[in-house]
Amino acid sequence: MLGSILAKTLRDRRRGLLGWSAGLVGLVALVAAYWPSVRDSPDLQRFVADLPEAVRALVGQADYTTAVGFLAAELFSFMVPLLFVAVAIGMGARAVAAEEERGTIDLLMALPITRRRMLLEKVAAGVLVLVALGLVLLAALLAAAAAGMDLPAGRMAQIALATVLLALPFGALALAIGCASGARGLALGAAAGAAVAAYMVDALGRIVDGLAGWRDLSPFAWYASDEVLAGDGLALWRAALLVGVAAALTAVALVALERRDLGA
Amino acid sequence: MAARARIGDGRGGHPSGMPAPSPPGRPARRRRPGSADPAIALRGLTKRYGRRAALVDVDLDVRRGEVFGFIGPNGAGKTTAIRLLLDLIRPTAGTARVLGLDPRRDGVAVRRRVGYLPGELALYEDLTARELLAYVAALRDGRGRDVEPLAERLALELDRPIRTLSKGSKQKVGLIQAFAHAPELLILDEPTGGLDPLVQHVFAQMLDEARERGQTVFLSSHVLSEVERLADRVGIVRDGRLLVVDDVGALKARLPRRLELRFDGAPPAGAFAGLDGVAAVERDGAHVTLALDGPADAALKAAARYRVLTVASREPDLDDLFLDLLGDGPDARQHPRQDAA
Repeated sequence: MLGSILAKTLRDRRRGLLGWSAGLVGLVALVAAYWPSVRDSPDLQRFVADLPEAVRALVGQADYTTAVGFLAAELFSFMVPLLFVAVAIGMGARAVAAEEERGTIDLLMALPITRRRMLLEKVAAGVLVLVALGLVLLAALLAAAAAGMDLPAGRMAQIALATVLLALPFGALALAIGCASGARGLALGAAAGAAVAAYMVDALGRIVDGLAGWRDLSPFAWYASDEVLAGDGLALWRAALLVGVAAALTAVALVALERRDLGA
Repeated sequence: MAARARIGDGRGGHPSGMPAPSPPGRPARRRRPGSADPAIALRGLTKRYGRRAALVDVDLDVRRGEVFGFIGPNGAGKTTAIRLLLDLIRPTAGTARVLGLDPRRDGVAVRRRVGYLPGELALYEDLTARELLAYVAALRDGRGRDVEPLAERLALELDRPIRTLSKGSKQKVGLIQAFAHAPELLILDEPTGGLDPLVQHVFAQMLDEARERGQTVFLSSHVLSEVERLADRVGIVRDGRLLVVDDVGALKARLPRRLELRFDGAPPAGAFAGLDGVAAVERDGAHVTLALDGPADAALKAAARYRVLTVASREPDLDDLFLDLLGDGPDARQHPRQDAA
C-alpha cells in the first residue's frame, strides 16, 4: 500500500485535502447561495457600480450584474487563490523540513534512495494534491452552474487550472526555503510573507500608479483571474511563467538539499 | 565465614597465575567472497560545526565480520561519525569508506547494503509498525519484507499505531527495520536504549547470529559494560577523538586486577614489597589490597606465609578503563593509543 514516497506523502495529506475540499465547497456554495439575491437587487448593483474605480479594482472589477463577475469579485479576487496558495505553502514547507524536525529523515534517508528522488516524489505528491483540490473547485463551480448560475464550463475549467498554477511558485518557494534551512517555521513564515507581499503589490498596483511597474513581478498579476473569467482565456505565457518560476525554485530546493547536512 | 574467593574468576580473560596474554587472538571470521575491503575505513575523518569540532581526525578500520563497539559519553561524536557513514551529513575533512565505497558518491549503493538504527529514533507515528516496515521494505525494492519472524522473536505487536507503542517497542520497530533485509553491515546507534533485559537478551542473540552469518556490526553505546558482552573490539571516543581501539580482552589485560586479602593479624610491613607482578600495595591493618599487573604467583606465595582468612579477586571491569580514559587526571593519557590493526 505504501509503495513509494509519493504514495506515503499522498496518504499523509489525505486529511488535509479533505478539510480544504470541504472548506472550498462550502465557500462556493455560500457565494452561489447569495447570487440570486444579488442578481435581483438592482440597488446593490448600482451601489457597486458607483463605487470609486480604485475600490472596484480591489475586488476584481466587481461587475455584479453577471454571475461570472460576481464570482470574480467574491471568490477569485481573494479567497480561493489565497486558499490554494496557503495549501501549497503548507505542503512545501513541510515536505522535507518536517521530516528533519521530527527526525524521521534519518530513517528515510538511510534507505537506498537519492535525495533527488525523495524531493521529486514529494513535489509530485504536492502537485497532485493541488490538482485534486482544483478538480474539487471545478466540480463545485459546475454544481453551482447546474443550480442555475450562468457559468460557462470552459471558463470555469480555465480558472480552476489557473488557480492551481498560481499556487505552484509559492509552494516551491516554501520548499526551497525549507530545503535550504531545514526549518519548517521559517519556510512557512517567509513564503507566507512573500505571498502577502505579492498579493498587495498586485492589488495596490491596480490603483497606485507608482506601484504599477512592480505589478509585473507578482504572480497574482500573472494569474489575472478577472481576465480569465472575462473570457480571454488563460494565456499560455501566464501558465508558462507560473510553472517556470515554480520549476526554477524546485531546482534551487534540490541544489540546496544536495549540499546540506540533513537534520543538523 | 564464607570466603568470597573468586581467584582468576575463570570467566574469559586470563586466570591469575598465568601470564597475561598479549591481545588474545580471536578466531578468524568467515569472510564474504570479494570482501577484501574493511567494512568501515575512516581516514582523518573530521566534522566541525562552526568552531565546534564534533569529530577530529579519526582513523579507524572495522573488519568484515566483527562486532565493533563504538563507546563514549553522550556528545562524544559517536552519532556524528555514524551519520557521516550514511551520507546524512558530510565531513569537513578526511574520508570515510563503507564496504569499499564512498558514501558521498555511492550513497545509494552503500545504503542498500547497510541496516541503520538511528540513535534518536523517530518513526512515522501515525502508521502501524506493519505499515512502516512495509514502507521501508518497499523503498528497499522489496528486500526485508518478511518481518513476521523478527517481530515474533521480539514480541512486537505489528498492527498497533506506532504512537501507542512504548519506547521499548518503538526501539523494536527500529531494530527490525535495520535487521530485516539481512544487510552486510549493521550500524546501530545506541541499540539497547529502552529495551528491557529480556529483549536485550534476544538482541544479543540476533547479534551473535549476524556474526555467524558474516555480517559486520558497528554499534555505539555510552555504557561500556553493555558492549563488553557484545563486541569483539571496542573503540573509545571522547570529545570527537578516538582514544583507543583494541580487543575487549586486551583492554582488560592492561588494567590492574585487584587482589584483596584479609589476614589473621596484620602481616609485617614490607611483606609484599617489590614482588613480581604487584604494581601497588594498600594496607589497612589485617586487610591488604594488591594491584596486580602481572602473574599473581609471587603475591599468592608471599601471602601464604601468613594465615589468610579470605581472598577476593576482582576481574577488571571495562568501566574502570572507561573512567580512567575519560578522567581528566594525568591517568587519562597513560594508556598509549593502539591503532586499529
